[in-house]
Amino acid sequence: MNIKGSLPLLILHVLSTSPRHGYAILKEIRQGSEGVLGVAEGTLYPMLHDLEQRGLIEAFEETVSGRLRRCYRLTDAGRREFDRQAAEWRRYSRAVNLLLGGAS
Amino acid sequence: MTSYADLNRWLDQATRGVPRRWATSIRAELTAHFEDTTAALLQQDVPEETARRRALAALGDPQAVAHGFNDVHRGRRHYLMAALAALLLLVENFDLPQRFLMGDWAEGSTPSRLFYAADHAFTIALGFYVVFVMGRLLVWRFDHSAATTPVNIVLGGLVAHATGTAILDLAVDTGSSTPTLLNAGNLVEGMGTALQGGGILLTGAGLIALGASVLLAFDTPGKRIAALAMIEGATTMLYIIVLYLGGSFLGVYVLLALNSAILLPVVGVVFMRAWLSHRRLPAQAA
Repeated sequence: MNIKGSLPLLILHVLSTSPRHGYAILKEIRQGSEGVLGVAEGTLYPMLHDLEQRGLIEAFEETVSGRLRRCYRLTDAGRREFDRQAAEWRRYSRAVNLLLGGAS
Repeated sequence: MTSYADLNRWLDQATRGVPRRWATSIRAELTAHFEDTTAALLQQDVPEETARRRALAALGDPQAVAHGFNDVHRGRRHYLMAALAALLLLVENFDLPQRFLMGDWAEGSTPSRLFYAADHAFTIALGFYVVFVMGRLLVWRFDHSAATTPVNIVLGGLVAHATGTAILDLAVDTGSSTPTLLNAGNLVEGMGTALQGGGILLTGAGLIALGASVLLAFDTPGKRIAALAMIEGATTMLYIIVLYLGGSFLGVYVLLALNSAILLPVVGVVFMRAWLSHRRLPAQAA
């Protein structure tokens, strides 16, 4: 399932648990959703740079498996934004579930 | 055989247009991702060639990636400047530069002609920039590559319009009458008029095509802007037809009212929102 629209929320969620580089973020999204959620992998990076420019995440360099990697962690503003978006998403999905439940 | 040369070609496309100071680190970041994916596939006993090919395919369309990076690293400054350009166009609509900057020059004198030529060129240049950035916004932010051709048509129309206007402002003494193809006094005036009118028609046609392409592809807010673009395009075409065939300025006032009251403020707000850049989730948009 293509998740481009909800990718920022999923990135913030993954980074709320611990800092990661791009590949690890995608791996976590895929594994955490039991393989249901996916995205064209290259499009993750413009989104990461966008979140960084908005001050929701910050980048730092770290050596991972002997290689220098660009990793990301949540900022305080990012944590507040994640809480807000997650609450909004739950409200939205509950409303859709109510509707679909009523239709079945 | 998929190799680093293929990856480099992909990276060249994915970083096309991206400022150099960002392109280097982006290439390193995406190369590391490619290598991680390849390594994970090799661990699953996938043959090396297949692993590399699948890792490259998993990165997706490089043009879509380039649109995203350009939007983030080049777009914002342009969106703010385009919002200011829309504001300046509003000022131009009310002829404020002519009221406050123009000297006490006789109509048709050299200073007067130069002033009008500069004023017209500046106005068309602002319009050119607004349409150009609108095209970038549609392609970079909304992945709507279909906007490219109609935007180019509008820009081509504006260039023809600017050329014709410059000829009429600088090379032709039109007096108080409005030159049309029907009353052109000489070849130069005829050329200027044809270029100006043809440019306006082309701009109108491009705006209608742009509006139609957005109308077919976007949700409700996008459709409102598209509908406005189509009205603007249709009015522009109507303006030139009415002006040239009937010699009436009615179309000018319709255009000015439309531009001042609706289109330019809406375009300005669109650019400001793009500059502030909050990508909304489906839940937030509800």
